[in-house]
Amino acid sequence: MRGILCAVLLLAGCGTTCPKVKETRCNGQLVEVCGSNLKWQRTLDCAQVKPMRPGAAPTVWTCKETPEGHTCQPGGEK
Amino acid sequence: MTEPTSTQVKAFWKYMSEEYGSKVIPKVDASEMIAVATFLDVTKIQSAETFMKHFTTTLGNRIYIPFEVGVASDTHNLWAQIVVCVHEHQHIEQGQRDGWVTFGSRYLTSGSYRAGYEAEAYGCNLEMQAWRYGPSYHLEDYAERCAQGLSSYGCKPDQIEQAEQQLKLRIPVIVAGGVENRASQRAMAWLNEHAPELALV
Repeated sequence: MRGILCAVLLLAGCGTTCPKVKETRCNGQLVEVCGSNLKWQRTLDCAQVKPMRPGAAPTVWTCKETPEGHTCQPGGEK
Repeated sequence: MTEPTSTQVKAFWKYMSEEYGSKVIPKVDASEMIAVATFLDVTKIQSAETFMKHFTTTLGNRIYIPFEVGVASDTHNLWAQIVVCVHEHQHIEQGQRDGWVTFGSRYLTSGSYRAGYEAEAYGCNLEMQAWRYGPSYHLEDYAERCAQGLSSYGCKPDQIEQAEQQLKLRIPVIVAGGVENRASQRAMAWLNEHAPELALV
């Protein structure tokens, strides 16, 4: 039982540490936000973004920095 | 305004359940949910009545719902039932993507990770509202309300702020016509084919 508890707490504590809460970054095509636990947390995967409406031209989305923080931006047709 | 029909809502839940292999269970009949409600009540995290009547809960592939699918209630109109369905299936996406042990342990033991997972699932709510009402829907206000609601999940103010930022980073994507969450993508594929009239734009 103690072993299971340790494993659970270990898994919960995993993740790369980050310097400042709410800081953002691009990690490849992942947008990550620094959580209040000072771990980088996956927020968006730009490679997974698809058009909302049928008939819209497929677009390549990439992680970029904006004044509001890093997020996915449309970068042109596929 | 075109409202979903009971038949559409039932068909939508059936489709999503088949896509994810999920099982939908009435919350009121589930002894495990009654036990959780009692625990939350005793520990003063949340009243048992609020948990049982207002919150849908997903454990693994089981979705415990506080309403009857396709029957509008005081707490869940028919469109809200569609949105809840997408939100809960995004939690199943998270479990499948991160592994159920990692997802479950992080969700239960870390308010920050819980805030992050909920922010992602509430991202479905934003995406679905934008699909129905258009990108001019008050997404910033809605994101703030969703994040504030995380106090009911035991999240602290700094965790709520983190979730609000995570939600707001989605808004430019949505406004530009993109959808990131897989559960929303699957939902919209069905809605665009079977109920396009529900999109009011």
